[in-house]
Amino acid sequence: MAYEIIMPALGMAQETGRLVAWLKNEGDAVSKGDPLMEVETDKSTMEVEAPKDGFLVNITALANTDIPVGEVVAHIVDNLDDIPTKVMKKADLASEKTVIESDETQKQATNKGNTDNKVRLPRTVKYPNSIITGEKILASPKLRSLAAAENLDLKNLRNAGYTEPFKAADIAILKQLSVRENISLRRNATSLLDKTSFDMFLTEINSASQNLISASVVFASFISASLRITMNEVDIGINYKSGNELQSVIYNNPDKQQLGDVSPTDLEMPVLAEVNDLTFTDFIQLSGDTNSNIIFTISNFTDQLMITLDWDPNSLNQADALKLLLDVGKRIKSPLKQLL
Amino acid sequence: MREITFGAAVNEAIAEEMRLDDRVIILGEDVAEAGTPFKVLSGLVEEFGTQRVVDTPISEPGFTGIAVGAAMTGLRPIVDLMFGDFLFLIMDQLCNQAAKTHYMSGGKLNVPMVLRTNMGATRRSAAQHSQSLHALVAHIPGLKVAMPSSAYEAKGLMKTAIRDNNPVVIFEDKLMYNDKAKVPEEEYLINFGEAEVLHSGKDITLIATSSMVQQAELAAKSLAEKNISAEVIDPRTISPLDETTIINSVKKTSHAIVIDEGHKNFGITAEIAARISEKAFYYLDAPVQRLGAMDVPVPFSPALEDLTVPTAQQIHNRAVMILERKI
Repeated sequence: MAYEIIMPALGMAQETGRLVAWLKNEGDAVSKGDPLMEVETDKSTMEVEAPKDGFLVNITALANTDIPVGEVVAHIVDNLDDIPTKVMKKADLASEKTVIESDETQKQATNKGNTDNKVRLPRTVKYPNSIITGEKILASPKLRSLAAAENLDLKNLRNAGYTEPFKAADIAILKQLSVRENISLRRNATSLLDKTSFDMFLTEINSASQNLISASVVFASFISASLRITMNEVDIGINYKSGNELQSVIYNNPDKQQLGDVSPTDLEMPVLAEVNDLTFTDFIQLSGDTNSNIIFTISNFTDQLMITLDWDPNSLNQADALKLLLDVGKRIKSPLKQLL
Repeated sequence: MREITFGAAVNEAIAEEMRLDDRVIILGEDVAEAGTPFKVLSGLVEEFGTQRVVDTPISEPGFTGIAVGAAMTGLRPIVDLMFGDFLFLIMDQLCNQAAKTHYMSGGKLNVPMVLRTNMGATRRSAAQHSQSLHALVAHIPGLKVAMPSSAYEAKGLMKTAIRDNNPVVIFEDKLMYNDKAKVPEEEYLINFGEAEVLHSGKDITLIATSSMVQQAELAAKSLAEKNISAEVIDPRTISPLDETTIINSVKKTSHAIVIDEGHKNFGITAEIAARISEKAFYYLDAPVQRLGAMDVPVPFSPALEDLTVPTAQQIHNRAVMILERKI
């Protein structure tokens, strides 16, 4: 530990003090109370005493010079190995700050054997371009807090051409813009599958079963099984919409039950995926009005089924999405394999 | 309820406290026979005599110093400073002595003194008799500052001030002495540091002191016609300041204008606006606005003088600008 010896202020309005003479030499052992140097102001002369035991080192001020009050003129160290590597004049401190910091960080890094990854880099104060070029978005603190709470980006307002500064009332517009942005970010993929095997399969299981097994139940069950493999989820809830009015029911883990036993649940449960079953409607395509992360749309052609997967890239990457769609397709093309 | 003038309310407060406690005395220029130039103290000398209602020579530092000493040694003096502008004459007595005696004596001495003085322009009294210098006093730790905005407040705050064991400075708006308000006959006090919400609203908060409270209320009325709901807050004392009421209101409305008759530079409006920025920043939807006296010596010319003081119309316009997103 190095202790700083500074030029003391001896008068109220004193800016500098004259260092008359050093009373100890560089490297001398000193005891607390020993006079170190003689200082003169316009009114008096006095001796500055050592504040603690140690060795006087780093004498940077010459005798017979005027030194600014508060400036470090020497250090006292506990032993001579502790001499601080660099001593800054007060006036230089600001400009040389980064140097001191990087010295320190180097020292820290060395002490810790360079294991610390969080080495502070020299700090160069530089304003981001936005401030200089006026690119900073002008918005009220209230709108900023509202936007931050909902994770909305104020840039959307600027890009849409609204006048700044933005205020709290703009949150409604911002929400709309962000929803639009999210939807446009969604991805989709479509596959076209031969449905001969599937239709045969449905006829066969219905001749063997006492309950009528609908195509919906089979679709829900296959999609659930594929989701289980791809998403690694334990509970799979599916919001299944069918008919011209897209009536909605929830299936809970339909792949875990015998096809004849699968029925909608009344329980409140989280929904992992949504299925728009258009097979008994006049529609072949429909863009979702929900924000579900995974939406399947199934529609009917003469000999084929068209399956579209629409997904939010934030919750599903493209590779997994395609894997999911292919897996569902495989089950529909060879349904009998699923029973084995 | 009966209505009495601001001046009569002050008179009543002092008379009641003098009857209750014979340590309460009043001293200053023209306080006895003349009852002050504004006739606020008329009748007191007749009831309490010249021993307790003391006419002094024209020497503000002299009689303020006497009062500080009298307060330290057991009396409860009310000093009457004829014009707020004369505060500059008594800075040492007030700020170095009265404000600090309790602290410097390690709590052994108190200065239970009230300094009643006035503020406010547009009375054609020129630059040396028209200033509003309360910010100067509120800056000093150890001094409490009350700013009544009605006869009701004038009486309640004066009685609280007289009973306070530390120095209190009360600024009365000299144009308000003849304004009447409802004042109960029974005794009441108004606690220091408790603001009053005079008009509750949801769109913008108007924080106004003393003479500016009436203007803010007029503005709130005209704003209501434009479907703007303004909340009017009267802090009543600026030291201590009821920050909680102000901050909670601004959190609700997200907009604020601070109005005060002191000069705008480095004044009460700046202080309150700064506190709002510190404590309600993330609730603000527009920069806090300030309306204060123009930063010029108060002109003698009536036409010019009137331009230097904020008006209800200015408050109205500023509020509309904020809410129409022009600020």
